[in-house]
Amino acid sequence: MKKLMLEFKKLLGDPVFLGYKRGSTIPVFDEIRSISELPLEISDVQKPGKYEIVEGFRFRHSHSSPKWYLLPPEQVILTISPSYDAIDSGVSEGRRAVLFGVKPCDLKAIAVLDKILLDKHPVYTAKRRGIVGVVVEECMEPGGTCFCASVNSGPIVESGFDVAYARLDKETLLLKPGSDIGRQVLKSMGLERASSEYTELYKQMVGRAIDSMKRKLPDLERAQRALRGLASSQEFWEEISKKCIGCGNCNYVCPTCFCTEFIDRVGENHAERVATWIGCLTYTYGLVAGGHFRKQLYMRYRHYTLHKFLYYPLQTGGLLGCVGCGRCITWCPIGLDLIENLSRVLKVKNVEA
Amino acid sequence: MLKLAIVKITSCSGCINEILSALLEDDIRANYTLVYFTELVDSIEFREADLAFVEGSVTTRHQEEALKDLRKRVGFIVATGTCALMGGVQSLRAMGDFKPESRGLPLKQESSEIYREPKPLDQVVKVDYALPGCPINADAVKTFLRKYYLGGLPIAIYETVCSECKRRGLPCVLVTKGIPCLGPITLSGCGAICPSFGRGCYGCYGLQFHGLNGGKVLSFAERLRELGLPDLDYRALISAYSYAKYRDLLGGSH
Ligand code: SF4
Ligand code: SF4
Ligand code: SF4
Ligand code: SF4
Repeated sequence: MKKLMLEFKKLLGDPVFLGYKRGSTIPVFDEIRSISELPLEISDVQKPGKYEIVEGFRFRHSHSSPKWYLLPPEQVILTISPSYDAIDSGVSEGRRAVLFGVKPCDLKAIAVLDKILLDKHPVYTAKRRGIVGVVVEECMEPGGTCFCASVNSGPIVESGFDVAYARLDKETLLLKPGSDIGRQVLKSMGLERASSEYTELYKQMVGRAIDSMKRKLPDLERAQRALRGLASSQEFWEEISKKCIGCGNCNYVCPTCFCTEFIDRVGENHAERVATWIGCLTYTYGLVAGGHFRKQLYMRYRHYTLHKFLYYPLQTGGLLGCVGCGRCITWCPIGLDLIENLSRVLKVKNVEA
Repeated sequence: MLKLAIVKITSCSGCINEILSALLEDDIRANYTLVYFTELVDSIEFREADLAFVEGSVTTRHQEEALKDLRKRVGFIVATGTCALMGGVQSLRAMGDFKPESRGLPLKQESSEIYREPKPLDQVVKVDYALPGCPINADAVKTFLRKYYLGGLPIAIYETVCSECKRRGLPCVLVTKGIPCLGPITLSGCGAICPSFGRGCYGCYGLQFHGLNGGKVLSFAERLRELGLPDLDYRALISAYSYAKYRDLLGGSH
């Protein structure tokens, strides 16, 4: 792992490394300054409404994600003087950076954000353009709430990276290149070609990983059709969101949620306009001059679900807004389960049909 | 210069200290003149003000009448603090054995004129703006006073403490440690202070009531129970600062 980092460093002219950084509590997405900061010796235990770090070597993710870097919670987009002169546009060059050890679902989430924000959102665009390398950790054992296989986002990657690695066990890494840079890096590391023993093991482990995901959407297209059919059933959405309290945690932890509200902060000598994350589950969302267009919570819950599964594809040229990371399930204080709800969608539709 | 009055009814003066802190800013002092502020200015009465912060909840008939009179003389009223919005901690008395005459304290009013359930300001007069918090946050007062002077208002954000907690990137104490936390049903504004010290939110900014109903509050209470809070504790916890809203959603029975 150290060598991998060093080679990227040499080849790409000393970029910064960004990844899940081990802190005193839970790893968060941040700058990685040394290999010892990577979460290599811990695992996460995830259940609806529950998260724990234990010893192990299967860290998947936390409440944090690459979104924290690319589209931070607060983006100062304009600073003005008391006479309304612009002092700072808030956009600076993105740092040259390598994403290190991100998960397949993280990569997919960035692909989704790219479709919506790249070349449109100045802060995102600057940071995104600074990403010069991508190293992905594939998942040989999914987390307790992961369902990426159902939405075609993991647990392995096929494109959009330079190097991907899989930890076959604590000590054994299987690496694969995904680009010219990746091939160059692996070459200068002087690695041997993996024997079929290892590649077979890898294939088996991937198969097992997919099978072991408890949450499954049997048929995405059918689910989408069913959602379309249920879109205007108030009764159904009220029932499904009965326990939701609109806290917004699901929005903030979701790696593809991108909504912001502009907040103007007026100080003594200058004022700032700050684009601030806002969740569609919270009441402010939908509150506009003259009224509110999603006043009831069930309407906002419905919007969240329909946006992820029906509207994102319209915005992204086909990509879903859900990458199956399961964060919204783990970090919901009530432990509401999106996939369980979607399975109910299918059941309701079955009963009717 | 805008004329500013700071009025206090039943409350602890915690919010007033935050207002004081805001008034220490030079640019704010330059634009406002204090016409009434018993902690700072020697005036017992004032005729008119452009703007008044009213701290506290209404607990006597006398206060109610004084407020109605105040409304006629003030252009813009800011309900200040969770007391003014939802009753505040003093509302806990509504859940107990309320006997004002039995405390051995001399009463200024007939006990029949003292309300068992403190009233939020908006039950008595029209309120133009609300600043939640116990106490409110001086930064919110500064922002308000600066924007108000420029002819605007801060946009109202109705979200939960979780929103601030997540934006700060704090690890959730409820999900990671099983600590009962009221953040998911509490108005934002404090910056998630309690979770930042690894403890659960106590709900001092008041119930984030938009979109909630009795059933949802109870399902959240059920979650707190799972985490080990006994029946009575979770009710006291949820209603401690926000009794008036709690009662609206769940009724006053205890
Ligand atoms: S995290 Fe859970 S309770 Fe909170 S808004 Fe999302 S679904 Fe509702
Ligand atoms: S909707 Fe939930 S599971 Fe899907 S990407 Fe967002 S947080 Fe992950
Ligand atoms: S959702 Fe899939 S890719 Fe993401 S961490 Fe879980 S197993 Fe890995
Ligand atoms: S610690 Fe409390 S306020 Fe923070 S996200 Fe968790 S439940 Fe919400």
